[in-house]
Amino acid sequence: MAITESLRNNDAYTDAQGQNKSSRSAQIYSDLDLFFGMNNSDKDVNIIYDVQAVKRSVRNLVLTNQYEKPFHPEIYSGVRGMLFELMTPTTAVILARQVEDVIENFEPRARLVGVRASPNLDQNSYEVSVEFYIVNAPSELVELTLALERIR
Amino acid sequence: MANGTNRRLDVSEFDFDDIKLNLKTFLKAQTTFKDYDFEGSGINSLLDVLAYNTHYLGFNLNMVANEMFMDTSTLRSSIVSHAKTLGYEVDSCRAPYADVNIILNDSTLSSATMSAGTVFTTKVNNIDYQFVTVEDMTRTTAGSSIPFNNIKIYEGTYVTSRYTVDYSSVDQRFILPEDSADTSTLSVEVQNSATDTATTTFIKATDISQLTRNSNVYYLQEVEAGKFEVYFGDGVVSKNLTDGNVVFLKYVVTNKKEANGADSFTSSGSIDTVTSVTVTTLNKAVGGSESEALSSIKINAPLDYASQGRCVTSEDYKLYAKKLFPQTQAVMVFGGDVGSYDPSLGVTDVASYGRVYISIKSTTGNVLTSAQKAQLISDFRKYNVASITPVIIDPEIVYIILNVNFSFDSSKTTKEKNTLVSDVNTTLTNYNNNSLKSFNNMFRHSYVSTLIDDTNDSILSNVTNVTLAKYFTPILGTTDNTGYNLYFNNAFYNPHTEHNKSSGGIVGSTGFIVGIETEVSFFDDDGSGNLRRYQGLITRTYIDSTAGTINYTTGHVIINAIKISSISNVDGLPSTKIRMTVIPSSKDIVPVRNQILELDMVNISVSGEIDTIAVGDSGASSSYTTSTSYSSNTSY
Repeated sequence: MAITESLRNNDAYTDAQGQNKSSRSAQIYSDLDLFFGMNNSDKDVNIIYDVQAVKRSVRNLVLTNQYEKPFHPEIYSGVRGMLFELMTPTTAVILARQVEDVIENFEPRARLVGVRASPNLDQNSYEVSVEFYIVNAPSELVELTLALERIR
Repeated sequence: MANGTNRRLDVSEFDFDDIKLNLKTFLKAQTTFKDYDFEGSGINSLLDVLAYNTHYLGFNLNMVANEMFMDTSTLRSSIVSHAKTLGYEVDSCRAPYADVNIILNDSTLSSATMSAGTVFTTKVNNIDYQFVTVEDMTRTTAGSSIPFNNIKIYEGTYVTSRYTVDYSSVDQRFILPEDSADTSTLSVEVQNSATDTATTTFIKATDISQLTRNSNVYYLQEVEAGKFEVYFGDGVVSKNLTDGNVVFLKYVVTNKKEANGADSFTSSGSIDTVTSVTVTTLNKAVGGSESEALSSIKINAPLDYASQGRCVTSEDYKLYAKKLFPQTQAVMVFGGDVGSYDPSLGVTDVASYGRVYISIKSTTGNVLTSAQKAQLISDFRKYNVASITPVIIDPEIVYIILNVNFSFDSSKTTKEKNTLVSDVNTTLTNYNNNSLKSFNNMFRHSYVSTLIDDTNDSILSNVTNVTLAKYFTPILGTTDNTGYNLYFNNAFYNPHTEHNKSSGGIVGSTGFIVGIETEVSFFDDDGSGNLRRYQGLITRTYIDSTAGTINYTTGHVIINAIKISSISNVDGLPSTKIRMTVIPSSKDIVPVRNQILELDMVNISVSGEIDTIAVGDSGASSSYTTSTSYSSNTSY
């Protein structure tokens, strides 16, 4: 993958710990931990819940390139291509729009509030900040920040 | 983990989406991972992997299953392997071969040897090619020269592959390394050892039931990449080789079809020290072809198995004709019970038991040379049932001349009349190439008529009349009179006796001069079964009112003995043939036995008229004219 998330690589993993297994949800989301962390109590693979699960999902979608999903070329964000464009405010807006599109289309659990993409010229990267509500927990605004940069 | 009711995983699907759906259905039975429906979730990614893997294996299995049957396999190696189990030997590519007489002009030698690989050069399309001999030959002197008559030479390079037998090597194989080797030229010799140069020639095994443990035979099979492999017996079925034997494979590596047609050869060096060499071509180079196509293997292997190496039914003969004569484009076979061939009468429906008649249309031309026919008869000998004699006959071409009049609505097209006429001509040319020109391909009038109508939306209708034509080659300038037979095998139009007698009946011909006469003669008929010879294009003066007979029912024209001294031009060009044209009774024409139907594209007439009624011309209905369907031209 040509994209790394630098310092915030594990944000989606760590910053939602407090909200796991939310009792406010009528429906609890539960997903496989793709970092394959081990649950110390039963030695099984970790399960992630609720906010953390949705944030992971958003992150996965944003980092998905076209044709990565077998037989579903329509599921992708297209940010990779944008990282190879000239780093301008316009590009940043387009990049943000692409992130918006993929979340709107393929993550029904996130009610999107906004996406901001800020070019960081010194580090040749964009800081993408996604704000959304989770449909089962509408009172809490979730913010996910991703740093996108080319590695070649 | 699963505690629901859908514990059984449905494994009936092979498509990615269906497999994934089944996995999701399965996961509904558990509550541990509930996000499988969201495309970004981790468990969804896992399902992608699982479903893709299953799909991949399913597809692979499907392709493997395809390759397991000859009907569905697509890889050459699979098809060849299936053919091998049926005992079918796939043809390699073939080198063009020519028959030549080679004369060494030398009076000093008592005999001379021309070794295998002797080179003769030629040019085809201004490109140099070399032809070679494939066996050593020795001839004695005939006085001032040493003739090598009727020698076959093959296009390509004569090469030798040498292998030392070493059974301790599990990888040892005797492969012809070139992929354009002609295996029909292959000779296999086995030398006892590197020091003992005594050699034994091995021949190709054809019938395993005739072999013993000491039979010196080899077997041939196509292996990977279209190459051929020679292998030997195991000491039980036939003789096996021993360690240290040296195997020599000698064969021609060819350029396949490229040198077909080469007809002038020169020796490229001395032959047994003689430098003055004269080469006379008996038959120009033919027979070069690619290795057997996959479609051909699929058709021929089961037929070959069914025929069990023998020619019994018509289908057997068709198969072997294609096998023995690689340039076969189409073949027709009929037994002596349904017809026969007589050199003077041609093909008739008189039975001649004990013979089978084979008519071959070659890819190089319509007619096989007499040398090719003789070779084919000789090749058939191995497969014939003893009491049956095969006879090779030429295909007979019956030409169909169409007279097309179509009407079109000019308001429905931007094309001009001439463009539409040209389009109709193209339609007929395509029909001629795709649906006629082969045995058993019938001319169906309504089908052609529909094709013409469908050429353009603006064409509303057409009237298409049919005339048949056949050519015959008279023997010119002979002192003896000669008669001729023409079999159209389709009934002629003769609604009543003396039909159209005053205007020349339904027969016509191109011109010719008889004996010492000076005026050109033609044929017509009197509607009563008599062929008439007349002179004069405008006013017909009948010279002979019983020049022959016509059987209107069987479509047979007999020209009585006549001495034709010269022939007029046909279609404006000098010709050695006379064309006879007739009007058939039916507009559907059937090719019988060795007949092939073909449109005569030179004489086809296509014309179009604007349909005045369709375009709304006031008063059109009173002035509208139609083309007649009852007056086909007799003369062209």
